[in-house]
Amino acid sequence: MTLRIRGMTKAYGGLRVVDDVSFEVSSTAVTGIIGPNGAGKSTLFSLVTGFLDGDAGSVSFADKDLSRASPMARARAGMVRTFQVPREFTHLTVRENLLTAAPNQSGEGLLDVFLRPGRIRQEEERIRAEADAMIAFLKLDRVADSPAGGLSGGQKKLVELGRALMTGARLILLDEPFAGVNPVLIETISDRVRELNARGIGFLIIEHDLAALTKLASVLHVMDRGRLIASGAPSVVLSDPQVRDAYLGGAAA
Amino acid sequence: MRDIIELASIGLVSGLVIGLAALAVTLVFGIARFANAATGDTMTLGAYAALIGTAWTGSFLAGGALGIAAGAATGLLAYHFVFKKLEQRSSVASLLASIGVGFVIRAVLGLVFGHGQQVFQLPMVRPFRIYDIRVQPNDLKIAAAAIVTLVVVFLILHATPIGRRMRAVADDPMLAKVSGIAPKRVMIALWALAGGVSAVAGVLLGMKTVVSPEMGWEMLLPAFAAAVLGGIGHPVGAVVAGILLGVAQEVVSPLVGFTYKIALTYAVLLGVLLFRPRGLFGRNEGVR
Amino acid sequence: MTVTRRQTLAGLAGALSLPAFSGVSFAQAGGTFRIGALNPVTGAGSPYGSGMQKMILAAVEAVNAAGGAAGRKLEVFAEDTQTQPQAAVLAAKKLIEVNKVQAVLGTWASGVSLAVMPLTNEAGAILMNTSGAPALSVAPANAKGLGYRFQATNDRFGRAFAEIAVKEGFKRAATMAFNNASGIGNTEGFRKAWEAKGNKVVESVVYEPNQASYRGELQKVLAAKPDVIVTGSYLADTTIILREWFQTGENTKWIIPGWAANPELVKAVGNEVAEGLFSVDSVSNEQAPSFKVYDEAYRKAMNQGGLSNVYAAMTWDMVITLALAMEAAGPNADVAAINAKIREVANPEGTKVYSFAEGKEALKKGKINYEGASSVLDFDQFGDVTPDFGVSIVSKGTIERKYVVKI
Repeated sequence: MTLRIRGMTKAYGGLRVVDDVSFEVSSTAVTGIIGPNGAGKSTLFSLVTGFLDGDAGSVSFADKDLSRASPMARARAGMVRTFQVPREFTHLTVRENLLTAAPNQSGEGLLDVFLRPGRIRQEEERIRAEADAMIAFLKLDRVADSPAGGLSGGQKKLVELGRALMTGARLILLDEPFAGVNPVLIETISDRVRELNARGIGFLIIEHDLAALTKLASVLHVMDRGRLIASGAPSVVLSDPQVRDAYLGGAAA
Repeated sequence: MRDIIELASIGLVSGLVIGLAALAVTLVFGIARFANAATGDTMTLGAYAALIGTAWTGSFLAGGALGIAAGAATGLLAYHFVFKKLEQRSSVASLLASIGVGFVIRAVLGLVFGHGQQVFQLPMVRPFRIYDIRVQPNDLKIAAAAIVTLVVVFLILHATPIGRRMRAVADDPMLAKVSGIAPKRVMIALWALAGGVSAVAGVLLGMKTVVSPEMGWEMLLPAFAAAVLGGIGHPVGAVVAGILLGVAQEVVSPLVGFTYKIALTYAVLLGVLLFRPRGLFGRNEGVR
Repeated sequence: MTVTRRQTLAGLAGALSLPAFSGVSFAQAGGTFRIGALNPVTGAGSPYGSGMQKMILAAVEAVNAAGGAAGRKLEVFAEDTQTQPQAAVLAAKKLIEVNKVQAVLGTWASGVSLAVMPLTNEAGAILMNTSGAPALSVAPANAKGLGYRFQATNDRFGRAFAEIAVKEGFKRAATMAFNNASGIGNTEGFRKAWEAKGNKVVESVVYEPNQASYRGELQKVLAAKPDVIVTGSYLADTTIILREWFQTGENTKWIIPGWAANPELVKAVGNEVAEGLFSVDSVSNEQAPSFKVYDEAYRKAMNQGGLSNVYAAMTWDMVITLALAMEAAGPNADVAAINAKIREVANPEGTKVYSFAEGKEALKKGKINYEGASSVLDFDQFGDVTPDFGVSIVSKGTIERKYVVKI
């Protein structure tokens, strides 16, 4: 499944924060987006996932045009994002956080608890099994029943990743997954991403940690001041003089 | 010593009843994010419905069940006709509307049943003694009913998917929506649950005392005080705070004078708001 | 005879303006005396309110039929207090400002009377009430001496309780009072009279309204082992307290005011719990001829015996007393002059009279002393009366009058 972005543009006043960006992301690959601060990377994510309305451009995923779709509809189509500052249900346990992310559990209400307990229990067991597998996979066993608010930054990102995976997404957009995370956890997260990608889930990752990202991604796109200035394999892109200039002008790697 | 334990047990029972009312308040505050002033009048309505049910069937249990159903229905109707329409407005608008809803319920009850008192004809029984402490069988039954209600509510909140979703909405409504939790189902569950719990509180209070159109409205402030003391939005906190207030009132009053009973509640409330506004169990909520 | 156009127009104008005068009844020389009947037709006092109002109207009719008072007919404007101070104040304002009444008769609840009295004082109008609160006797409420209370004060109730307790041979009395002026007035009145007889109150408790339980309060009182508990209470709290008391298994008697110890209470707590309760209420002047006159009027208007509504007897008396004072003050007397005559016509020294017609006749010969249907109506310096008290005991579910106590 391919994510196709065509001519994405967003301007605030006269300033084009995202300027005619087009590229494709395959769900078989791990794709990275890099660029100095303020290049428009997070804004691009918001535009792609429907949290922001673009001034121009189109988005399609798995050959479905999602340009007008709501964030929830896009999530249902299989495309989900995480946030720079992780958001989780602070008072729910890690397990419960994962459980709430499971897609629409036939909309059970309060009455069903009393009238159809059997059906509910069946569904519960199914998603609990999924969540347990996810917890094991993400190596969160020890904190599975602790409130998610008490976790470290890196653990929270794993939880967020888990929630994204629980939705059954085919393409996950990660916004700075390694920021503020200790190196061991970065390794863990990277391993998980690689494994998931091998199972057929695509990733589009914004990152500043170029070392970690280049080990992971097979394709890199570079943005600067709203425009896409380079695309290709990491080694090629990183030796591109235009890219180096952009970085020297802004935050260094 | 025996006296103190007896007083504490009296306070425990009244505290459980207040705690139930506070639970209803705190559930609505946590999930729908406003203070529901119609909680008291829903209690009253539940009590009257239970009176009718008991008169029809001769069974207190059946009457109570009718009361709970009436309370849940009231909550749902109030949500559908009033609160749903105010969801996008400020919480003050909903609070004011809830005062109006309460007035309407109270007025209708007064018209239909008159302003005189009615009572549940519970059988009169003498207390029995455990280690020389007098225990009232009726009080035991009331406490048991309250505890069963609490257990059911907490089971719903923590062991069912809808309960989990309700807690998610209470935690972070925006994230809940983005995660695909349908708000409508959660709200329906909330209002039915809060209405049912209010009704139980009303029925139990009516059994302990008398049923009159104003009875629930008069319990509103203690219920709110307990909800705030417990940490508004925190279900366990509301119940614990209710019990604490009930016990404190009974144990302290013989010393300082019974006219300070009500003042004690407000002194506690004031102290909490001044020194620990988030209450006993509450969190330091940041605004997202 | 030709009628000029001017005359026709004048006649027409006169005829058309007649409706504007409909509020004022055409009376003989001196005009009418306007009375406001301000009673609890709805609300907590509604069991008594309409009877009270009808008796004002009936008494006014009797006075007017006897030729009016000092050449003036009485005119009544009737309003409902709803037993709420706020509604009562609005009604009182209308009576005073629009109807220009010179006296307001029959406010029932203490809260209502206390709220209305400043208005009547300012208008220089007389207020006759049936409330219990002690505050109505003295300044600031009754600073102008325009207030007359036809019901016993709570204090007097307490004194009656003390008489009863002595008569029944109780030695260890305790009190429980609702935390308001009325409740505390009852038990304080009891305490003073009880201690004056050389006894002690073994325990006294004041309790808050709307509690889920009164066991703590009961426990404290019962710990002092009283043989009787005297209350200043209302129906709801009495119901709860009695039920909780019965379930403690402790033995004690109860003396309770009649507005709380009534058939509703017996119905709520059941015959077993209510057995032996003393219910005390002020009673009308039942042996007097004036009571007969009132009773006849009450039966005619309400289809019930006059005994069923002690407050209606009071409002009947209010009109008669006022009319006799007017008669004594002479034609064209203002309210202040009439006010000065009220004690003169109602208090001792004078021929005892029992109706307006009788009194009007007797005034031609000298002083009179109107003995009313509600009480002998001897007003003290505060404008308060001392009625008799009926003592009833609940026996197998019925409240039976046993005897009358005079204080």
